[in-house]
Amino acid sequence: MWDDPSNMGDGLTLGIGTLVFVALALIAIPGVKFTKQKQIYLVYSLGSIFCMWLMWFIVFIAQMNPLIEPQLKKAE
Amino acid sequence: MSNIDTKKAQAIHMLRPEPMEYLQFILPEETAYNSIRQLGQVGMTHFIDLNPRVNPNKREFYKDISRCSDMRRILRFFKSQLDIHNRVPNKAVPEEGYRFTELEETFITMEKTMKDLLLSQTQMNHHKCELLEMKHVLTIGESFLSSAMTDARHGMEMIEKNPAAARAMGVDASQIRGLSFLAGIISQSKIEVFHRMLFVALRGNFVFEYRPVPEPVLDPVTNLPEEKWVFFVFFTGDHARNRIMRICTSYGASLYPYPTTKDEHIQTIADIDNRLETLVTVQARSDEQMEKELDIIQRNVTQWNIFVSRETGIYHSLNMFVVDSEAHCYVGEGWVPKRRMNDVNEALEVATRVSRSAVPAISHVLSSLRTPPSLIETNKFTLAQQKIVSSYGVPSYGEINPGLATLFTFPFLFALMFGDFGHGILFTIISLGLCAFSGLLEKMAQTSDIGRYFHLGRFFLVNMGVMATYVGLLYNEVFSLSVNFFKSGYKVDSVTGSVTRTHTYAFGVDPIWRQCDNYLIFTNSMKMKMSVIVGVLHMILGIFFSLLNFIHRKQWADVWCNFLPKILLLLSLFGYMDFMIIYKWMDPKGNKPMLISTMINMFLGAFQPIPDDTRLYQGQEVVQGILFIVAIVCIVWMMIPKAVIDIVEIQRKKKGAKGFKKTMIRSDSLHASTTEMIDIRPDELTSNVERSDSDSSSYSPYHQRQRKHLEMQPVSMDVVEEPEEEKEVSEVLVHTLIDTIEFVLGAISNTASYLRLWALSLAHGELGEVFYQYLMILIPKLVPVFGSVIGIAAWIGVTFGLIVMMEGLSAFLHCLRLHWVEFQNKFYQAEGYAFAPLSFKSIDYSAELFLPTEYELER
Repeated sequence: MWDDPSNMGDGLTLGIGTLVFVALALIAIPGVKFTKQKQIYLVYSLGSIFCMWLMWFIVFIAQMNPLIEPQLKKAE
Repeated sequence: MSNIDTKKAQAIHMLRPEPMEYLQFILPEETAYNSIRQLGQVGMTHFIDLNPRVNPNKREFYKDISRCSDMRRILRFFKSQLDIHNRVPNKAVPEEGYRFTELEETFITMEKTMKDLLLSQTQMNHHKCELLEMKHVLTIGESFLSSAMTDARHGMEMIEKNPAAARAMGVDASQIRGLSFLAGIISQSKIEVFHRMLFVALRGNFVFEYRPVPEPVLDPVTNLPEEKWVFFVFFTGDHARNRIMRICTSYGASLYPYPTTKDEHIQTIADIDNRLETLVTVQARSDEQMEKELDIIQRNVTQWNIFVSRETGIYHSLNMFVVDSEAHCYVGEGWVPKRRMNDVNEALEVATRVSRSAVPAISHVLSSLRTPPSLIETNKFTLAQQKIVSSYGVPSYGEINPGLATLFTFPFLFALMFGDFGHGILFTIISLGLCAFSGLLEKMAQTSDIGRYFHLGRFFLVNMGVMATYVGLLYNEVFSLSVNFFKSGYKVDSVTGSVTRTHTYAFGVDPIWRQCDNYLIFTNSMKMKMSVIVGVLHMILGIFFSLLNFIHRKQWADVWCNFLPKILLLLSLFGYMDFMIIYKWMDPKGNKPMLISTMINMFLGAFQPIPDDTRLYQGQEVVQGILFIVAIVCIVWMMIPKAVIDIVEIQRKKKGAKGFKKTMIRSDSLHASTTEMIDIRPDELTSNVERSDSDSSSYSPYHQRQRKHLEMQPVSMDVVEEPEEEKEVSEVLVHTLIDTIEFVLGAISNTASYLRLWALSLAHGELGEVFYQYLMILIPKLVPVFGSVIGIAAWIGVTFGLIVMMEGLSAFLHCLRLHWVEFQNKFYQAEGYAFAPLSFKSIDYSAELFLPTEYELER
């Protein structure tokens, strides 16, 4: 499944995208020492970042191997 | 839930309600008031009423409380006077030096002064109006009466000088002498009716003259300017006079004495003018005095209100104590969060020092069988979310608080339903505006409920807006149009119109879909699958929380027989479905069978081979077969073992019981600090104080004496004292059966319920698109010039009112439902009660706004 050339670019995008979110998380974590409310901050920031990544991931892989082809509207 | 001061904020733990300690306070008489005052400052003690059956009138501090409520009444009067004169009370300045009795005296004198002033003011106003009316009567009467008067007088003089001549003329002296008149003033609306009434009453034997007053007159009764008419009634006889006077009173006409001679007339008018002048000066002086009083009130009323409200709180709390008259002290009990124990002890030390008492105020820890109240500290960011959770139910002590997870799941699920970049930005801007104008909002919040909700929830709304913007970007909908930030993955051949695919659009839905006929088919499929994936993950989080609850309460039986089968069932059915969805998406070359049929065949055709064109992956039959078996096993696993364990426990208890047995662990008990079963035999039974160790050093002789007091106390109606529910075998079986069926059916229905994420985002997109098509495209086409203006205006209006506001509300509501039902029914019991401390912070807050504090609402 992974040696399809047309998918290499997609795999790369997936990887880079995930890394972006991981980077976001890594940036968020040290911010903990600036706030007293550590528990809330960590749960909230990491949870939100995870949700955002999940959403992006789902939308991406939904289009990776499309089940239908776009049919353009006829020009009016 | 208390809102703590972020300035001296300690770390907030939202995962579970704060661990609590049960303290007993022993306060010597002279320290009692100060101790409660200090404890109120700390604001972290939830007092237990140790006199629950005592009538409020019989309580120790009943008199003080009624004095306080009298003072509150006077303060309300002061505030209403300020409002009438449009003065705003000054902000509170912390004042420590108030003494209750002195303040009470001040209030009483000030109230009396003000009431006297008000009374005299009304009286003077009344008098002034009457004088003015009389002046009008005189001035107007003068114009047309003087001639008649002189004629009548002339006639009278003539008759007196020469009665014979008059008789010859046929004029009878008595006739002229008998003619009298009354002068008065009446409002315009009543004059016609008045006239008619007089006609009826006097049978026409009267002359009625009336003239309007040129300017509106202040009516002495209503104090409003009215149009009035001056009238004169000429009549004969006393009988008629009486009748006229009665009619006048019933129609609200005021009669005034009319001077008979011209000199008198001038004199009266001059007199009236004089009196008016003096009246005006006196009124001015009284107004000045009133202003001075109001000044004092305006400066101090807020501080006074705060002080009196605090006193009310203090005395209410003191009423909850038990009086020990031999030892001259008060004994009370209350809950304090463990983390604040030091603050409480410090407060008692300060109180002892301040009252210069030889005997210190002390507290010591008791262990109690009661369920502690639940306290979750919040700050202004988390307050809104926690309030929403608590309005469903206060978390029980020791269980996981959903509020922590909801912080990020709520905006996320909201965003999935509201996803539109443009609308999200509008939403964010509006909520940022709410944040910026939070001062104004706070003022509105004092009077209106909606203002309060928006004020509390402003950060929360910003959160939701930002998430909605992000998801909107992913859905690639900007006011239902698409944007093309990255390169689109499809190339359209301009000649043939055929579409070739190059790569996947990097962030979100490919913009080409917007121009396609089968756009909806694609997005529906994607959004439905996304909803189910998110839903299953959300429910797994819920079940995971139930695991945390079981571990916390050390209910290992539940971990094995409740948590494990549930999670395995969910994973094996819907987790597998999610897996298939993701696999089907990510598999480039394989079959794309209908997943619904696959799922159905998993059950109906369990171990039969799958035809090649509907096969998703190798070994699918084996995997599906195993998962099928696991699911069936889980269903049985949920039903049987737990029931068996419970039944065995019932039998064991029935065999071992001899008298009244109390256990500290039941399947839904929540006090996590002790885990052994404690048998208490009846002769040892003390009411609500129980020691877990028999260390006698902690029994002060005072405490032992005090326990006798408590033994006589009627036991309060907390959770603990209910006799162990006689669980019967049948009840256990039915309970587990219902639980199982509920979960299994719920797994299907709850997963389907998450499809509303898809449904609402579809509705949102369609609404946006339809309005765009009609308002921005069609109408400008149809209507030549103004079409664009109308269209754009209408579109803006619809976008704000319908889509952002209404859809936002709708998405909020559905998101709430998803949390409250589908998420929380996996783990949330919500049987707690809120921590309600004596807190000056919250009392001050209500008092500053002149809202009734909780103690007043009780009464």
